[in-house]
Amino acid sequence: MDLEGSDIIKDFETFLHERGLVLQERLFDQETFGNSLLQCGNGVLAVRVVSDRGVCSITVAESEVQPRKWYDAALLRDLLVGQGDDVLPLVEQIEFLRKNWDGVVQCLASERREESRKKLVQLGLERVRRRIPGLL
Amino acid sequence: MAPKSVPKTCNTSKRIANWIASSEFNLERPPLARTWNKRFRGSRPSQSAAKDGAPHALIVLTKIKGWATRQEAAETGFLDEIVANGSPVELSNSLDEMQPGSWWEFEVKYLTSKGYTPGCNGKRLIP
Repeated sequence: MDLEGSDIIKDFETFLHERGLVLQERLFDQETFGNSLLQCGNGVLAVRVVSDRGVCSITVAESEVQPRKWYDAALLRDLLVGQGDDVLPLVEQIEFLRKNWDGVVQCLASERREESRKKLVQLGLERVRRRIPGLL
Repeated sequence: MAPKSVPKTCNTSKRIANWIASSEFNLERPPLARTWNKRFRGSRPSQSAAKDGAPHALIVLTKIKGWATRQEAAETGFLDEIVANGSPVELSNSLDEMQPGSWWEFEVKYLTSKGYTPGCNGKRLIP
């Protein structure tokens, strides 16, 4: 998916800009399945939209503390709202982040973030055990 | 400071695109060829075009119905070579970050089915 040409991605990028996140990176790798990357951040949080071999995902990182640790929208949903479908279509990932943006900021960019980080790792591992039995 | 690197999952797909271009993987199986002809009026990409360094021909393939099946075949072909060599696999991210429905999950699931297990503090899959 070419993120550049997608209206829902443009709208989501506008949403992020309105919340103070600025464009940090935009990539389109024409030679590798059209992989795309859009990253916006504000020094505390970063949001990344990735199209990898046609599969789109949105992830959030604490860019100030753990810039290479990315939490996907379904995992954040499990933390903030409760467990639901593991695989979320792009539209639902965006919808969740739009509706729960304040909650995401609170859990990743405040004094609660240490606790949130532990829970997210735990939820991530539980999800792996659920989806690939016997791996862990 | 924000990370500037391309996601490592994308690095994997670059390796797979290169693998497709350099292997005997056949891009022109009949069902795909028919779809291609119908939608793009005969301008099919060919295996030789890919070998000549034009893996970009694959981009359009991602828009074709049934491409996921072809992509799976490419992925398993790529992984089968790794399994046959008995090579360990470096993980770009920790397993708790694995996104459901991603190609990364597909790869880990496939390697697990071939007997790979996590090692090296979860940083590798080992045969």
